[in-house]
Amino acid sequence: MIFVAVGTHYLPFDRLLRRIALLIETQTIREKVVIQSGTSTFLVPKAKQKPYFDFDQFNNLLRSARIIICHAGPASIYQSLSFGKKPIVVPRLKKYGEHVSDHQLSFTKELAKEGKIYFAASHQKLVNLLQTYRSEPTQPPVKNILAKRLLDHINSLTHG
Amino acid sequence: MKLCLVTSAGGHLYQLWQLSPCWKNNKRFWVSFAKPDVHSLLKKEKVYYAIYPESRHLLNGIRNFFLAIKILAKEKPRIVLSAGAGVAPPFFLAAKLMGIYTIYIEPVDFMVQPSLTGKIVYKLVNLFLVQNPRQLKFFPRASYWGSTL
Repeated sequence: MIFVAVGTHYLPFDRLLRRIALLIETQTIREKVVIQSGTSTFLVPKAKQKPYFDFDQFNNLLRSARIIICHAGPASIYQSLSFGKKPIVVPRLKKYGEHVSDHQLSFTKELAKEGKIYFAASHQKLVNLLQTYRSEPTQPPVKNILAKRLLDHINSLTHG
Repeated sequence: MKLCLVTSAGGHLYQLWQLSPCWKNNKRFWVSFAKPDVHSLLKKEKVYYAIYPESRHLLNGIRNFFLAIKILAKEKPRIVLSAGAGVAPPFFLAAKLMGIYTIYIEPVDFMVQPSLTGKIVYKLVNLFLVQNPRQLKFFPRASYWGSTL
């Protein structure tokens, strides 16, 4: 199963959904497709599509997907990694009205450089990534040192 | 110690949620938006709803400032904590005026350029945290204590 997630941002991401529709039509994708489509209005034929899933359903989809294709939202990416799946990322771009800035593009490039995600920079690259996808072990989640230090700081304010 | 957790939906909420070790044993309430992931993740939490949309929306920023005064005066938190986005500056400003301690965490995905929220609140908050040492380039007086993700 391929799970596609566009996140909860208020702007739509129809461009990604049109690409998925094309991939299904041209049989680059031949397995079940489930899509979390947010505010996007394009309906992908032959796919199960819902604007949002609740937290548990979303996690179940991440867990059972063979491949995850997502926008460059930190939650989508890190949740995929926490389930051991290296996601294929298509960043939202400001010029298409998909986000308020291009920070997703720079974030994607940085993570791709670190080998944490696959960056589908073009439709052809997306095709290539899908055709050659092999699951790779992902790094274990970073220990939450920040939470501990912040808790210590908050506690120090009580006594301050 | 009562905490006020202010957050936009999506990754901002998710990053603040990852900090649960530092808020789960404290009295708290949230300020966010009526979005599906907020309803799902915060279903057992006390939530006030801010005015939406908030991103780069000056009029709603002003409305949220007056809403912040009302909420903070009623709840009297000791700390206001946020990882953005546009809902944070009005609440930080109100908190500052009311003498409430403020903590901001720059989201992890702004590695190559600073976020607009970060730029607005940098000189306003008591504690400004980045999640990647590279972000110190934009906010030299910030602290890096690790990452939420």
